[in-house]
Amino acid sequence: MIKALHIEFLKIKRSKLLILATFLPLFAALQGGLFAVDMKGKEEDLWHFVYLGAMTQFSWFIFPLLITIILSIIARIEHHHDGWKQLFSLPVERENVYFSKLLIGFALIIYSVIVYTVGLIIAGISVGADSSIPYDMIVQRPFLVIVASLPIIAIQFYVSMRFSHVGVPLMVGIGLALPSMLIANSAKYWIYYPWTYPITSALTDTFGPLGKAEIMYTVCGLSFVVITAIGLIQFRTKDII
Amino acid sequence: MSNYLIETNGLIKSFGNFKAVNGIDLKVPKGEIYGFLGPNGAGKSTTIRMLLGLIKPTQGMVQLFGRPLKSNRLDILKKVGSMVESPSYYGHLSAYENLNITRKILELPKSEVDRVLQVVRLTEVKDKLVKKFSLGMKQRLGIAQALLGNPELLLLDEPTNGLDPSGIHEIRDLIKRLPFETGMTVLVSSHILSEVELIADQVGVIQKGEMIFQGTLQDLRVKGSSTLIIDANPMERALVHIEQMGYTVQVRDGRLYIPEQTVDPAEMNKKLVMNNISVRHLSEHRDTLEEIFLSITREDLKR
Repeated sequence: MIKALHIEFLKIKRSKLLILATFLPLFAALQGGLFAVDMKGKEEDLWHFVYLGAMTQFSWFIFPLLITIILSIIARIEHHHDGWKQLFSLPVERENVYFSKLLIGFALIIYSVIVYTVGLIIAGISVGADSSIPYDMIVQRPFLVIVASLPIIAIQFYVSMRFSHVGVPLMVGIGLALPSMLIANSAKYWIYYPWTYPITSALTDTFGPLGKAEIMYTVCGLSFVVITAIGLIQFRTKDII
Repeated sequence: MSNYLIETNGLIKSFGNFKAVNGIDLKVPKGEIYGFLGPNGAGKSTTIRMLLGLIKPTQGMVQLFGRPLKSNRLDILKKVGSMVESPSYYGHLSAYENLNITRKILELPKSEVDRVLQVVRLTEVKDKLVKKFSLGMKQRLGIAQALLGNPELLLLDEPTNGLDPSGIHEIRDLIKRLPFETGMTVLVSSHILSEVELIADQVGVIQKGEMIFQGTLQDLRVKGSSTLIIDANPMERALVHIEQMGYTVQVRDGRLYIPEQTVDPAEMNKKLVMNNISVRHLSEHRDTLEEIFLSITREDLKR
């Protein structure tokens, strides 16, 4: 498995994934900084506005977009030029390939969140927010967003592995992320639409899980396990044509 | 245990109602070069993919190295090098990096990469990104990849596709050397007989998913017919004489054609001359392998 991970890492070495996973979160953090600059003098708690300004961008679109791109490129490396047939002609276990790709995807997603929190801290300090950094908001919350994004990660990974054309996962990922802010405003329906979960978990003050936090995180965990398992079963028995 | 390195029994693969491979018994002897022939779409690639476990057979058995593939896939694949149809590669990586990935999977020493690069003569461009390679170079990279670790069995699907004549020659020489130098068993597929005619010991011909011939090239040659062509004067008397001898004769373009395999040309000549017929031309035409191949694949189409 470690060997499989190392090999997956070699494959993404020259792709633009790392650059993307660095700059997209920094862009969101920058938005937060700019938002806080506007509030300077008017409001006391600048950290809050750095967070709010950045999170409205990040949770709604930038993070789902990042997930979509990372996972589709990891799968595309094989889809492109028929890599699957060569890979599976070698002595490798299909499930090892499946999980190492998922893990590499996770590693990149977590990396991008680390960059994001560092970006938030830098943004906060540079706009002159007070010296005590509210770690529970700036650091903890973004990682909670990862948990809330588990269904998106599972769905995107499934679609990316399943369809050889990279357009399919990109369309699904972007297409479903776009209306999420609207649906998140619906107190009744948001729970049925996983693309609202990162927004809800990040901006609880604005939307709030309304007592549905437990349901939401249960759905996250369960759907991730189920979708990943279905994907694996299909992947193991798929004919490579 | 049999001496066959690859053996399949009643191999069937259907896609819906369509049987891409229909009951193939492939028998590839150890240490030989086996030419797997058939027109495009006959089921060659599907068969090769089943040999590698890429496609699950609908029915039938695949045995490699005398063991069922199904239960020994990983152990078997360690000893198999392959290139299926167009070469696969990671375009954003260099040739060296591509081979290095396969090397790591096979747990081979680093020197193996340099060795196979040398074999296919890509050493000078090893740091170039593969997406910038020409088709011929990609093909050679695919073969290099298949040769990593000197596998005991090499499966090459249309390895000379897209190569120029000198490239074809080079690959052919390379394949021919392998069984001598390393004892490797090689299966090469092609839709052109002349490509494998010069290198293969055994051939299997498939058509519409069925094996229509399997054996040595010599056996295949026997399947061809020979025709005796005679130009004699006077033609009419020659015709009558030959028919009296019990042969069927066709007259075409002012010549006599005897499509019979048992005619002795010298005897025929003697008889005609002794009957005061002057023989201006007498020749024997044997079907080339290509003609035999075309005729058996065509015959099958008519069914």
